[in-house]
Amino acid sequence: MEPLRELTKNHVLGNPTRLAIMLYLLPRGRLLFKDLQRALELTPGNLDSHLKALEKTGYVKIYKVFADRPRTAVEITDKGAEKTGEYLRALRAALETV
Amino acid sequence: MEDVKELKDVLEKVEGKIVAAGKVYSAMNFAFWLTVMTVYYVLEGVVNMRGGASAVYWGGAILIGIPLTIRIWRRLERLCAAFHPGARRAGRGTAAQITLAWILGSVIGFFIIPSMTSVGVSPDARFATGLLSFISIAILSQWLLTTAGRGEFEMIPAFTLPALAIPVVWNMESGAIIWAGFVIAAGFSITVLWYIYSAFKAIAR
Repeated sequence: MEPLRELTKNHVLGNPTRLAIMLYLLPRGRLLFKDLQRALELTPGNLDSHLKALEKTGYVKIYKVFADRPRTAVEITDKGAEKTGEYLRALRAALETV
Repeated sequence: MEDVKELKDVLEKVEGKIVAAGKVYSAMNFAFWLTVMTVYYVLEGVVNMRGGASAVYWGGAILIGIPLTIRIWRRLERLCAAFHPGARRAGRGTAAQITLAWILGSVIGFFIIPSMTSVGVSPDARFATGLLSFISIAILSQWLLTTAGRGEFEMIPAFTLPALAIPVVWNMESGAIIWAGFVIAAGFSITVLWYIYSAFKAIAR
């Protein structure tokens, strides 16, 4: 159980909501904030705080786009995609030790 | 222990869905060009598509197709970054090489082969040989550049079928171009079907 606990504790994606955000973004590339919020059933404040943490690590980019009106878009970065894959592999490996 | 097993299952399902998304994106690229090709045949039965109209049609298709291909490419690159870290780092270098492969294919297929009088038994056969060579060279190169080392075989029918059809069109007195178009469409259809099958297999694993 130790490697698993260590991994989830020390990684930005150890938080299940952040991991869910990355996994939802991975095949889609870019999404509007409101669509991501609706899909993951999160409050705007909650999603915003997780996105800020992911933006700080360079896993996502957040910027304004003009849809029906100015909207916030969230885009996964190459680094974010790479790190998500890496994390999934590490998670699998850690699960094997349990 | 039950929780761990459940978490493993969830991870496997998530990975399967992401891999499936990649397969569907690849299928979309081929489905787009398949649509462009077949709509051309449909329009040819209604309006005269020779000369200017044909150039406008294919020019328009390329103008729509390139941004679409770039978008698909970007998404595939990210999926690749996540699941095939070793086989990656394609980036702009590979995109430029693929563009070069298509340019090389079109020069050989549309200029060099049609100008060689020793090719084919008729001008129609010559142009069809060129068309099939163009598709075979371009897609084979694209396959080698994008999937080398990853064992993605879905693209194989899209260049193998046109290559195998070259000896057949070579000896066609008439109707070679139309038949070559159908061969390309068949190759692309099998590729699309194979990608969709792989996507379902990835989801069901």
